[in-house]
Amino acid sequence: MDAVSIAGVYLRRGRRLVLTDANLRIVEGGLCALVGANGAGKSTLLALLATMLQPDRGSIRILGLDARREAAGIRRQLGVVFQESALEPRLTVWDNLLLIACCYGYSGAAARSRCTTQLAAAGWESRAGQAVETLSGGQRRQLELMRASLAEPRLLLLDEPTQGLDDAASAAFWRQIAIQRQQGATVLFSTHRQQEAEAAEQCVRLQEGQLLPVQLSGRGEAA
Amino acid sequence: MMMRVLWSLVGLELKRYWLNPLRIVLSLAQPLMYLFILGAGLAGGTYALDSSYQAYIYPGIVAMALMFAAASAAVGVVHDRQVGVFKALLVSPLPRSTLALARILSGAALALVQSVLLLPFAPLLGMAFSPLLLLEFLLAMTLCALVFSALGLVMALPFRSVMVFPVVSNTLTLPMFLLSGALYPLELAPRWLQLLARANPAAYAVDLLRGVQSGRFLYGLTNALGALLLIGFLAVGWVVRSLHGRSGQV
Repeated sequence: MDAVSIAGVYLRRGRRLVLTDANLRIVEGGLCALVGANGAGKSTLLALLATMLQPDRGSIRILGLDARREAAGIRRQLGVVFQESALEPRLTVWDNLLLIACCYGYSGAAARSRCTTQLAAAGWESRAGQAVETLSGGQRRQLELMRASLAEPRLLLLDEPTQGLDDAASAAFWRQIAIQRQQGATVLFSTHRQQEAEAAEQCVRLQEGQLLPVQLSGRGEAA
Repeated sequence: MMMRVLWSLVGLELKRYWLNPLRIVLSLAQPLMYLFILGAGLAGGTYALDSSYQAYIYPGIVAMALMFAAASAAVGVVHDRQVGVFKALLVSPLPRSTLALARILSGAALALVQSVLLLPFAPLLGMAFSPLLLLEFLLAMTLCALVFSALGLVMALPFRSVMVFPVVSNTLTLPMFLLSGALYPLELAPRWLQLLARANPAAYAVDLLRGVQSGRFLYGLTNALGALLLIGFLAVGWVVRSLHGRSGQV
């Protein structure tokens, strides 16, 4: 089954046509890179797949579910890392995770158990009580991924996830992604880094509203 | 299950405000200045009726404290949009109605906590609350807090900047307060002002609190309660509907 299936999608934002007859298929468990110039609409496409937007025309199916009619079902299986930080800086690492655990329907002991598991897996137990505003950019990115994967999503959408990270932090981030993939998650990420795109199994370029396949030289080597 | 999730969310919301307890204490300053400075200054005026002016305005000042605290709590939504937390909530499977309810309850709880701090000052103004009266007054305060919290969200949801929203919020809440009859009897006000007050949710809140406390209603208990329930119901509906349509605008 395809994890993502976009067929003949059109999307207008204001006066601008962001997508024009866009088509894309990502197989379940795949790793797909999305590239394109600044302002090409990569974040908008990811927002569309995250069910935050609806297309004007065309069909989007995520994990076999229709994005228009079954958005709630999709959200249960989705993890998203946004381009900009989406953490509450005043709360602790623990509370940021707990907030999202609650949103995924966990409560009480179940929510605490999910958060503890995530922190232990990342070796972050000692940082649980640390306020997010005291974390470095790389640590915040790691926490975002921890939060996005808290409910064991089947599809991870990552919007320029390593933007602003140094090589070491970036490598640490991709190691976490590799763990998620081992557990069966499909990953779609946008990037401006050639090396990251080359490491994917599939790459598409968003250009003038269309999703064009990009030929890769080194298939799926790093991730 | 949903109730436990709801309470967990409300708890986390309140925790964010608790991080700054000084803000809660400082929020007392404005209502106390109205009660003890403006109230004392106008105590010899004509509005005292059969009680002191300070006792007369007390329920109105409590309503004001509830309204301003709820509007202040609503800034949290704007903050969440600005820092991006709202996006994370909207892509989660949390039902929009639960998210709206959590926000309204936490805003109301915060407004209630801040306003309850005014109750110990009542005896200083020569007012006495029997246990039953105190219970009735607290219930009335709770309803007002819920309505103001929902109205605060109605005002806050269109905004993305914590720099802009407080200015707009103040521009809207100040005339609501001045037209509420908190500081003067509406029945003695000019006709045009009475008509404006009829369209003002705060006027019904002041009437409910003053009526419960003194037994004298302007609109009547049923009308004040009915108006607040209707306004609250419409505001909650608007918030839920707005969150449903908001996904692409975060």
